[in-house]
Amino acid sequence: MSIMSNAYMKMFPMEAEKKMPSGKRNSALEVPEFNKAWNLYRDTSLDIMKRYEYMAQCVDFTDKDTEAIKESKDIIAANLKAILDHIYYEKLINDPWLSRWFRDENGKIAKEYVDIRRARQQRFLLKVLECKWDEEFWNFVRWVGAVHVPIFGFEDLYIPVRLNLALWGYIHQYLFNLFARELKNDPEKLRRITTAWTKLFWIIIDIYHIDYFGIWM
Amino acid sequence: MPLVWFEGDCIKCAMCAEEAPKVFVFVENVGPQVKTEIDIAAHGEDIKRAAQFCPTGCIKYSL
Repeated sequence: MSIMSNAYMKMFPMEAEKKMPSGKRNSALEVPEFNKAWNLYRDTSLDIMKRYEYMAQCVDFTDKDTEAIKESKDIIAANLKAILDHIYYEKLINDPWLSRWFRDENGKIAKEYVDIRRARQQRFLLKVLECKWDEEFWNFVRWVGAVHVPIFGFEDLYIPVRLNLALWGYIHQYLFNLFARELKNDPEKLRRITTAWTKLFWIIIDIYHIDYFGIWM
Repeated sequence: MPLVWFEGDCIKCAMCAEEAPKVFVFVENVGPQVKTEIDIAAHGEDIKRAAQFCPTGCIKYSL
């Protein structure tokens, strides 16, 4: 037994006892509501479009929100370089923890690698702005998340969820300040656009992390 | 005749090969290459997308 399993068994001695099935029925498993919930859980785990549709319904992401995101295209396109500079040069390669994944074996920032990651981030933003919420797009979002965990066998690449949330949060506030600045004379448009982006962010964050937690998602 | 070619500095991000895999192939230690013996005109939309996403704008085409 390892030290860890010894410690575990001391803490949970009941685990060492032989398990016997109780044979009791669990009525919770037989009510229609449970079956409905189970089917929903199963469908939204297996079918990415059902996952999107369910999440969109939960956060009330509608065609109006899609139109609002399209409305924000001009602002984002005009500031794309500044947005990426902020994400990369203000945050990713300067943050003591986040920058770890952008350094070479000598501990220096690997510029060529940063350029490649930056190009990929740009593609991600451009794909979002296309506003095509189809299976291809959501699989792309899921894939971007999946390549940040070692499910493909590349064990060195593991970006903790907290860092993803930190970066999404940072991008979120940066975009919102940008919208607020550009739309200070049009509060109704600002409300439409920030509301739509907030909803979209939550859906993206959910789908991005599907492969982080496997069955728990 | 429709053509696609590279011009300028490629940073070897491989996104063109991901966006238009029927047109571009990414060769390790070399970079992206245009596949030979393909019908370029048939993949016009894919080529445009790849050019749009290319960070250095080095994909040129005449469709």
